[in-house]
Amino acid sequence: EDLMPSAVTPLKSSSALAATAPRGSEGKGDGLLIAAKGLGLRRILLTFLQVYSDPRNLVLLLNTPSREVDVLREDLMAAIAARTPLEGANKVHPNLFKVINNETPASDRSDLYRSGGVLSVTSRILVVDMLNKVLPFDLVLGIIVNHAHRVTETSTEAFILRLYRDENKIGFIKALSDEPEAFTHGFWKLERSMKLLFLRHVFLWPRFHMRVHETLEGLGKVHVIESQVPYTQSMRDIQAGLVDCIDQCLAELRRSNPTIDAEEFTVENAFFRSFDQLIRVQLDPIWHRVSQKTKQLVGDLKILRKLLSYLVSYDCVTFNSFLETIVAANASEPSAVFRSEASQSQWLFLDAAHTVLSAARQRVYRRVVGATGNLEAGIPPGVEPVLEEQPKWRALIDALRVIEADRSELLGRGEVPGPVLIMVEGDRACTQLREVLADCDLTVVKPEAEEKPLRETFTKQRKKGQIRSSQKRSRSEDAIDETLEQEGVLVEHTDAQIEKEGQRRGVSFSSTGSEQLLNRLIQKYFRWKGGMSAVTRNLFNKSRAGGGSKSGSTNVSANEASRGRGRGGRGAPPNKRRRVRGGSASATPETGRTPDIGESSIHTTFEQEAAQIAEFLSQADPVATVADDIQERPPEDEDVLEPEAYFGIVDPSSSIVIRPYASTSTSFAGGSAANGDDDARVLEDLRPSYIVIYDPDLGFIRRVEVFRALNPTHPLQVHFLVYSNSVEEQRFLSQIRREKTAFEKLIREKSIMAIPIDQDGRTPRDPEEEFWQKLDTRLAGGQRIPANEKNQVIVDVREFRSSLPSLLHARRMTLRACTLEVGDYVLSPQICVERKSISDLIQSLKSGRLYTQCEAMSLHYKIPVLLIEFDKDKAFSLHLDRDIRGEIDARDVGSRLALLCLHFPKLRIVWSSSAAATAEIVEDLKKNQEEPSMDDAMAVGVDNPETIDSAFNITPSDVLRSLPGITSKNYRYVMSKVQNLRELSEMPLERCQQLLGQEFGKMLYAFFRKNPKEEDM
Amino acid sequence: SAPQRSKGTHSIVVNSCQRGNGVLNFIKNVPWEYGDIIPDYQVGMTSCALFLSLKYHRLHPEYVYTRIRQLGHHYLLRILLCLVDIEDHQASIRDLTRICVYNNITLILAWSQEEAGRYLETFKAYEHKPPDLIKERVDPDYLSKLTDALTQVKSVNKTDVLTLASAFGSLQNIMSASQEELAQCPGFGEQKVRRLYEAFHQPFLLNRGDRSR
Repeated sequence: EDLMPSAVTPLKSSSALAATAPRGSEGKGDGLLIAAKGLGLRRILLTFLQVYSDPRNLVLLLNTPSREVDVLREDLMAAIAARTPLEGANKVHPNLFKVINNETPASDRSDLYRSGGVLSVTSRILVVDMLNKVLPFDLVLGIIVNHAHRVTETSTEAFILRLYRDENKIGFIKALSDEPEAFTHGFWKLERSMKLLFLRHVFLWPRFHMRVHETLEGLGKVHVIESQVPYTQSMRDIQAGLVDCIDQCLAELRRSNPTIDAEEFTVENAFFRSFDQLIRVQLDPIWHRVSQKTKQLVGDLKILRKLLSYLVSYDCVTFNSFLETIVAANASEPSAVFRSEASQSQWLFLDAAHTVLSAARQRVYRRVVGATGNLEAGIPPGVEPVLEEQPKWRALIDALRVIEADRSELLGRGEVPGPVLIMVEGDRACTQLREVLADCDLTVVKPEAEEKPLRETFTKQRKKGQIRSSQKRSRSEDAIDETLEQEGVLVEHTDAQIEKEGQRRGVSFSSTGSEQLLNRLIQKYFRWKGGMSAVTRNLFNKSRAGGGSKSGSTNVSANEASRGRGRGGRGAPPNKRRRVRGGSASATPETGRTPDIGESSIHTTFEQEAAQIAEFLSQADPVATVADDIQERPPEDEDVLEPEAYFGIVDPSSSIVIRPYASTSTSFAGGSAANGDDDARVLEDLRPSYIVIYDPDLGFIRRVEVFRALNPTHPLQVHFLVYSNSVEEQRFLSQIRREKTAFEKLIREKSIMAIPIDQDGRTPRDPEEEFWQKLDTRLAGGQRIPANEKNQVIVDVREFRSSLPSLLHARRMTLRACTLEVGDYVLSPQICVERKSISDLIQSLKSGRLYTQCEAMSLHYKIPVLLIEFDKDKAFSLHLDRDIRGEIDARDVGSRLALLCLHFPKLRIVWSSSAAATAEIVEDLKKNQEEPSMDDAMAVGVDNPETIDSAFNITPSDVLRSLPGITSKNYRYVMSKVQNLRELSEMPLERCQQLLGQEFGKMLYAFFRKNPKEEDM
Repeated sequence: SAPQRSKGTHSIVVNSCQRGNGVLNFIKNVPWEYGDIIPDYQVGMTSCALFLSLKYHRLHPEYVYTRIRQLGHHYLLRILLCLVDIEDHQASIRDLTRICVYNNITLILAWSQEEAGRYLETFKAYEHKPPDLIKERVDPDYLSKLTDALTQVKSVNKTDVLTLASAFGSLQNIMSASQEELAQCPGFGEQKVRRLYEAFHQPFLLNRGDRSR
């Protein structure tokens, strides 16, 4: 009865009821539920799972990432255990929530399906099992589609649902999503999604829904203290600079693509991730024809947007080194991989970019004449650390002091408040904050309040003898006293205050933890920079010498010169002055390399500086490797890092817990694949009395509201930190706005949607068609008479990522799924098809993969076919007319395609304007042809028959195949002998040679161990 | 096996029936001359092309059959160069695809006369060109190889490759890094870290459990 808490009761009444409704009733338990972020979709899902955890049912759960599954299972088992206490002492609850994934052996799957209960299954496996009739369709009571917004026309889930509806007209389909915005992209996305999901009913639960509103706010709002934290001057400069760069990139994009509608290409829109989609929607139809420059601009915009958010989330040192990596990577352009795309990020040449780069560096260190450096601390001479803290660190400590004061008061009255929960974005920020707060003393004024629990958290650290002397903290505490008086009001940190602080310190930190952290980072940074110098020198110089002669670098230098900066250029290192001033006598780059003519000036600066630093470090600390750096976290962190520390070992009432949002973390049931509902679970487990929302997150705020509504008597104080006038703030506000708009649009759409009565796929549409379909099945006779299988197409399993298999099935071809070594589809013993989308075609013509594939197809099949498949939403053409002027260009797709035809005269090319058109053509080609044999098709191109019967993971095998010494002949053998890439990378030379032969073994072994940081690799 | 070998060692031989075809205006980089040949264009010693406009094909669907019959089994590479000059092309292309597959003809689509001309030029110009351009490169430099390997993992780009190389050194070190270590690299969000880590640690084979029984 307590299954559904009051906050989600309204949701329950519609969907959970629908779920439990007896079969045959009106809704039949089908429905699509779209709820606002954070409103507790996980609870609804859990309720469903609980209802269906019965061995007599088989309910399939789709689209649920494994880590989410783990948590769901845990909660489900707990709930079941709580409801039905075990009778006998030895009885164990049967496992009614099972998983089929990559690691489940094929032989076990059939039994798993038959054993009932709830089964979470990977789509790619399920579709194969459905086609190969391993899944008993008649046993399936229903399918629950999680994250339903991800189901598209071409997704495997859509195909699964169709296969399911073909065979099973009774079972239910339930779809859940908490991404309303995703249903508003494109035309009639909602209606199309419903069609794909075979659903006729949609339930919308926005935050502004009356009942949601009442449930969440009926018992009083959550008490929030909002702190507007201002940027420092340099952060402001960087943000302004980045915005300026974005602006200019957009202007350039508009200029070079006059045909596109640029109205929505605004700086404000450019802040959001969906901006990429916005651009792609416009450029996609012509993406294969847009200039390299445009592609570069689109990529640049993406990076600039990332930088804007990293400015907030990264510390100054990491931010700066990311910038420097971008600069260095740009200088790498002449290397062989990118030779044909000779373009550099043009924004790096803008004045604004210069501002960004120098401001970012000056947050880390200053060049000072005569500064001696510090060999021990790893600071080179001529450098004075600045190490600007993130302003929020101080704000956070202030907030914690406010909290501590409140706690002391409560404790004074004999109440026991719950713990403090700090929510941040990403693991990195989480780790760093932990360090910043590690040695922080939050005592407010009266040191005699010593016995209080909050400080117990920090006892461990304090034992190390770092008890704060009271004068050290006096200043900030005065500030606190003020803020305490106006508690509940906006806490403003004035600019003046911060700037004053900046001046007052040479280096003044908000806590010793922060000082430690930044000092460690800067040390690591200089060491990294030294390593970077070696890497760039070793890698790029070599490739330049190798084949960079016709690179695009001249073009860049012309560009640079035309701007008349006078910063780049022959013989005159751009920042000569600075270098002379800063560098010690020994700091002349020992390579003696003069910059290439075309090199970007910014890059030269970094390269020279890096060389100096490398020189310095080679005196100081020659053997430091970064792997060490990463591990050299302060030891006292260790116990905090353990997840258990959050949930038990530490007495929860006295602790401060810092936690990344689940969707931004690699640990927990998180990851961007999850919907972040794990955060709600933390609230329930931890029951904090104080929450600091360090990074704004709309979903989490809702979760707090739900938590509050569920626990109306639980004292709760929420602190909300946000950078004022920042992208962060703007992004947060518009996130709220966009969700609201999305729901309004969906509500409107729902009201005018026309849904055919048979959209649920439960009624056979055409009795005659049904008859023929049944007849076909009977003729096929299952697996007893395989010779009679009609209209068979053998499909490579990775093709299930495209929509073609689904369309072939719709044309009543019998699909057989397996792993093919040669080709993607085998239509007959003679005809083998390699399918290429336009981007694949271009890519594989360039990489040479297509040549190899055609070679293999020609060797094994009489009629090798290259299928060039266009996207139905994109233009059906390969060229723009303006491309075909002047001389024949060998880099052109057409030229390469012609060359391919010349070398493979037997190769047939099929041009198809869409996947649907392909399906028709495939049907044609199959006419009057013998049926293919799956066993034969699988054996083609495989040397060792032992390895045939094994499906493999795609990405690891792709990485493997791109390694030196690995060929299409031996890679399967390697995969059968070695567990994974990591194991391969650690194999001794003899084993490598056993596996690959003398030459190749040595090649692979050396490649793994080549260290670009070492001289003369 | 082409009957007309005297002409056209350095030029495209054009059947006189092509007189007036706008495509000829766009054969600029290679010389061409009229000659007595069965196909429309002879673009190499063993290669030929028939030209077909879809507009014409729609009006005279039998024309292309006649030409193909005349062509018999001559030439090694037989191209049907098809100009897509109608909007509703799907049925025609489907039709032509079937004809081509069963008559050993390679179908090439062009969307403009310029493009069609460019294909003819290219076939002739590349007649003796080795396939190096479209073959897998052997032994490129280390960075290209490394980039090639690591960018097989979705969302990893060249900047990331450089970040990894400078942070960890060798590929072996990169592969043995923990998720936390990878996450320390600037620009590595949770998704990228997870994808990389999975790529290095997922077993190659899916049903290994099966075979070890």
